[in-house]
Amino acid sequence: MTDIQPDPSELRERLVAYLDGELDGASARAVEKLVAREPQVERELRQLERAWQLLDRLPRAELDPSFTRSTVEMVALAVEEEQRPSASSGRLRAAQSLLVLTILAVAGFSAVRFWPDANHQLLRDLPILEHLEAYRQTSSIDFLRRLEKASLFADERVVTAPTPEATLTGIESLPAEQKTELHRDYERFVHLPPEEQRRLRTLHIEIESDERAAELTAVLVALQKWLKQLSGIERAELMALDADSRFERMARLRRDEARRLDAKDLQAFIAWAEGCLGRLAQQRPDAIKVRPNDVPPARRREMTARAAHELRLTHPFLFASAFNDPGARRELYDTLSPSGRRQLELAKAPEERRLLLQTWFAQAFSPQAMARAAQLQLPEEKQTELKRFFQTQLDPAQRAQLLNLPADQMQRQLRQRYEQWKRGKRSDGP
Amino acid sequence: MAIASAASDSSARIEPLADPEVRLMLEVRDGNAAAFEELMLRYQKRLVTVLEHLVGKRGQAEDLAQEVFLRVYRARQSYVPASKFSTWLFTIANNVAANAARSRSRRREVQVAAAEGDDRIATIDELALAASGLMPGRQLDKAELREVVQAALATLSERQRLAVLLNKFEGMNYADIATTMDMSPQAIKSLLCRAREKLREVLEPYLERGERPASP
Repeated sequence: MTDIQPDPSELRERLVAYLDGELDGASARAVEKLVAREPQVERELRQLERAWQLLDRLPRAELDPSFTRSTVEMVALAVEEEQRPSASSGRLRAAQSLLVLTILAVAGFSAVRFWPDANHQLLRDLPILEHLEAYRQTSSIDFLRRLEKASLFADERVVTAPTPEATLTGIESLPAEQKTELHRDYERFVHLPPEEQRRLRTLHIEIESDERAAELTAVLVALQKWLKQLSGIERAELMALDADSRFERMARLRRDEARRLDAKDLQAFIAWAEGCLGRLAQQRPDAIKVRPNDVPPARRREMTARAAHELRLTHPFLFASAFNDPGARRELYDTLSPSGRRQLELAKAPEERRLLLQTWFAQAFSPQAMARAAQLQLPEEKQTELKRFFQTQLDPAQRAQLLNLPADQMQRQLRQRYEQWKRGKRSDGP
Repeated sequence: MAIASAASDSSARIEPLADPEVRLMLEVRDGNAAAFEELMLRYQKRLVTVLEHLVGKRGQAEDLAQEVFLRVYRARQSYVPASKFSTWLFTIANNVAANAARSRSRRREVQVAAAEGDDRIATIDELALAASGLMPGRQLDKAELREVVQAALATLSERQRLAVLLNKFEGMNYADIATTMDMSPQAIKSLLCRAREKLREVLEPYLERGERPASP
């Protein structure tokens, strides 16, 4: 239909649809004819357009990396909860653990002396609590043997975690930070379903009584250290896999890590990637909408990350060719240290080079890497909210416990507690 | 509207796999945590921007955005690509924002002046009062103009505002907005028309005075 109806409201709908590009060719031409003929209509169209353009003045949100981090933490917590069977007996367990924790938090571990059963249990579970992540991910002793045989964590075994003496005095002598971590792991452990707690205890006995106990424990310690470096979501995703897939995923992640660049080479790589994508943005403006070279240096890394991720998904061949070009590669090679160069030399086949560059890209431009790099403070509004939470929702013992921590850890733990509280509040809501 | 049906009822059907973000979401479904963080990185600012203009408070917008991402992650295993990823995401955002509005309304934290089903936040008179610093004959500077535009946006109903934000900021067509808001494209057409007319009605006098200060 191309005729314009006299009804003003229908005419306005057509004008708006015309401005929004929602009319077919014939209808659009009819509107254009009418606009050319009727000054009143032309004026209305111009005013509608002008008001619409003013919306460009509305501010766009700027977020600091803490928003991403706190969302990731919140999602990681949700994943953990998903994997925890909803236990109707959970309330009782929670009440019991709350009692122990309250005693621990208020009076320290020595107070457990007055509760012999809890005391005994805590000491017995101590080796598990200290390596809880590793125990949870170790589906059986065979899994641990498999990790040892594949030497997946061989290079990390030199560092052994300081183990407190399995006595209350030993625990009391731990630094505040380690004591707090133990509190948290204790809390997590007692919230596990009883069958999972039994499994972990059995696994621990199996490891201790194995003829290769020392080697397997070393793998476990190294595994714990490695798992702590992963993000909450990555750990939760590993947990969700069956034993074979989990082993494969761990092996792949370890392979990727072996290809990582040191700090100096990483800077060289970032500069090189920014240059490559900047040049490509000029040559192929259709392929890269974000132009890293057009933004201030402070935001360049973020823009490069966006451009790279976009390009990888929309023009995978162009992305690969940008970095497979011998000239560009030579340019990178010249800026790397001997160890970085060696890695580049070893990646001879295009597929190997692709994997290597993919690893380096993730190291430089993944959300986690970006968040680590930025190290920005929380916005004022969020800080006020956290402060209010600290003052009104935590009891004196919890506040004292947080205040005993180093500043960065206190911030992290406070935010974790806040996210948990907030999520609890939401689920209680209407 | 439930998340699963939001994904499958799309009236704006596309070749879903042509959308790079749908491919990323499929990676999330297959257990790639980094792909989820990538999607978050791509959408967090856009989502918070839309939600902030929708609910009017930055802190609340961030909370709602986190809730949206949480729902996306929880729905990952049942995710079926039936529309663009952005349409699916903003459908969830619409549901989350609507739930929050209902909750606010129940708690009587917001005064709602309903007029013909519209939950208006500010009247034109209030807008005039808010912008009373704009003296005739004075050139509108950027900050002032931004305030006027924000106040004009606030005169729209929540539904009008969401449709405007999706159209303006997200570049969504009527069909995608209809899917997101669980309405028909014709209803969206009318909704946007009324919204744009309202914006024109509110903004034009200020523009006129700003541009022709000498006029009586």
